[in-house]
Amino acid sequence: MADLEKANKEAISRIQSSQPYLVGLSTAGETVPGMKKNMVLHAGPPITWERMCGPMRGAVAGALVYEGLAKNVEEAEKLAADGEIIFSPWHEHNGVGPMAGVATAKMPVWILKDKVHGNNTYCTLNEGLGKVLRYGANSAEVLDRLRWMENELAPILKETLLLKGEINLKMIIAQALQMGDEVHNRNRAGTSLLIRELAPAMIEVKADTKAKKKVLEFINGNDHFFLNLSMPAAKAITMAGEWIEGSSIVTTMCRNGTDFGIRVSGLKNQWFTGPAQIVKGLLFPGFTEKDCNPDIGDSAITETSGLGGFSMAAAPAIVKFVGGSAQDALNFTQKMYEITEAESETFQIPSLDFRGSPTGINLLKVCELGLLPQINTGIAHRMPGIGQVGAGLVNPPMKCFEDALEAFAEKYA
Amino acid sequence: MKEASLENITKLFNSEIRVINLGIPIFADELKKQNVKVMSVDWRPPAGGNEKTMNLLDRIRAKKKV
Repeated sequence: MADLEKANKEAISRIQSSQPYLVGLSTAGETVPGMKKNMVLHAGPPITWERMCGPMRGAVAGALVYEGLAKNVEEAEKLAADGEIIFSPWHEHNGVGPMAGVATAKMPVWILKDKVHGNNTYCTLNEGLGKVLRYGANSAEVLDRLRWMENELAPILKETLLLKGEINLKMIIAQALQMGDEVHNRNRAGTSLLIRELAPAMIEVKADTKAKKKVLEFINGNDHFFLNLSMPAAKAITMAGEWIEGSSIVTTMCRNGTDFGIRVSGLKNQWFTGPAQIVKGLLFPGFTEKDCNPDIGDSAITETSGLGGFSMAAAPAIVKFVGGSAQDALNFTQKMYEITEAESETFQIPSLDFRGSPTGINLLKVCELGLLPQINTGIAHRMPGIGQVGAGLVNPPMKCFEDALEAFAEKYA
Repeated sequence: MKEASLENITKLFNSEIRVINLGIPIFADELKKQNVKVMSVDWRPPAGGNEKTMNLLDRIRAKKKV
């Protein structure tokens, strides 16, 4: 028989003590647990091809062509529809993917390790902005970029990491938070700090100077490059608190563009889903709400770990991107303390007098207060291949938490 | 109503009223516009008034050991 309070204390203690490090780089096929040649990993809770949204389908089709399983997009779509492909959520393979989050065996992935709890987590490398696979684009240009990432970017970065050694991502995130990032939709500081870590070792990598320069320019040209490291770091942090008997701490929040899914520590491997919501915020010129896809991506793992929307007070400049005022950014963080169990011992927010970020979402508090976690996120066009159309604020559907509460009461009360 | 109570009510409404507003902020906003001293408390009904949720929470909280 588990003690509810004790179980939550243990989950929080494990979350607080997690130490995610960047330890290497490989391909999904070589390193991600349970990966198969005919498997496509995706963001969000489990979903079938038939229910996938436009950007997810576009990304799946592009990935199957890139992987060599189909000759073109039409063939890829038929393969996906015929049941030849296994679709599986990244979260069930200890990883995360931004937006559509689609990954296949040949794709390079970062490898992280929680040095305290021993868990590995994974994520693909960020492709950049505009027409990219994660927004459902699958043109020749997109696939060429993916091939460059596989054949040039990844080998140089892999060699760089071997020369540099492990990188403490928790410390980089903590610094980034004090430099105006919240490491979900603002990653400029994180990306800059990462380049500082990598560049000296990269000089010594035995590769053409122009090739190394292209790598650094690629990273420098994408303020969100660090997102694909902050996400698996957050995944490692929340994984540390998973599957503790009796705990009501929420350890996963994610979306696949159709459904929003959560998982709770004391309800091992069970998904609780509801409809992904429409994001409200600022749209780029020329786009309206009817162009917007519902909420998508595993990047809500940042909020789950107390970063992202929960740490908006650290990143007031984000309101220029998602809407609202600097005071709103402060208010959102302060609200989240009401539904969390602890304050981070590492991620401190200067504007709140260095208070630790709100950590450990408690399912019971969410339901008791009727107060949903606050997420900030990019908005994808609902048609594949067009890309990002804006950014804004969104909440999960209450249904996820109500269903989880019912299951929790069923099991424990 | 007794005269003493009426007198107290009259006294109340002729003196400075200080208000605590529970819940919807718009009531507090309107009072502020009229220069009335008001403090807003961000209160919501437990579980948004959802009886099923309240019952589930009561069941869980009743069990210190789950």
